[in-house]
Amino acid sequence: MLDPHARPVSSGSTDSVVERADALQYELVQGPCLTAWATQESILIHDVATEARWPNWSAAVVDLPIRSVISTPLIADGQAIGAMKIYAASPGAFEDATAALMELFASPAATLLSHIQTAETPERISDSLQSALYSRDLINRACGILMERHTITEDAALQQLMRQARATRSTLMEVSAIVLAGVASDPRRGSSDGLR
Amino acid sequence: MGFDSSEWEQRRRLQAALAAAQVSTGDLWLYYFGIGGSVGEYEVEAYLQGLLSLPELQRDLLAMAANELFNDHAGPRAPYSDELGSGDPSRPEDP
Repeated sequence: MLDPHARPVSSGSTDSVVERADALQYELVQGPCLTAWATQESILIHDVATEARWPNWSAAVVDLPIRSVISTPLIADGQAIGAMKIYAASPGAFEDATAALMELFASPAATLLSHIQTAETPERISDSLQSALYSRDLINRACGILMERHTITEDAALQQLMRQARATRSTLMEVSAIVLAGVASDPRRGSSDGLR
Repeated sequence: MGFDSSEWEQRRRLQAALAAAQVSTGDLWLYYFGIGGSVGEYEVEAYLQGLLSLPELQRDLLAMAANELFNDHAGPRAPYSDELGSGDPSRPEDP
């Protein structure tokens, strides 16, 4: 499966030869599966040895037992979310009818996969989780400073930060950043530290 | 664990604020987690459903998460525990 920038996000294969052939496509940014994904049409290669469309990839897989290829795009809701492919060691193993059969398999597979995850899901999760962890870490560090400074519990430190955020109409992250910067008060609000 | 009336009121108004701003429980929880919340998403969901009582600090953190999340919205804000119950009921809410 690929994200919208053609970067692989998930894959599965039945043989290490397949894995190698796929990895080469991503490394070289060319190959039948990327074309199938980009054009949303099945790609049939009768003989890799005489195939001229992806010269770098054909040259790179020359030592692998791959001569025939069918690659079918996985299309869900009109969007190509990846490609499904079969390799064969002998030339001329597949024909147009094989591609049509692959498409029959690809359609429900794509629907199923798109429900498990969209191609962007891992990226979205990691972005929002990363920012949540960053702010949590920052606020916890500010709590630690207040705990040490005033000999108070973690909860009391967090409550103190919350009161200050409310009093200065700042976010909890902003008041925490100020504590971390070693400034006792919000510089925009003069000398009042907003603490009770 | 019992529910005092102010917890009930705090939960009800948090829910109203979330509905008005169309913020999902998942988004609220992630933000709440990001500002130091310690209760799991499942428990937050149960709290919003009125099935679970949460400590005051966690309730206030949820209110703060909601208010920071929809800072740009004109809708109702989520109250903190010291704005409810024993406080002065005639005190107007912050705009």
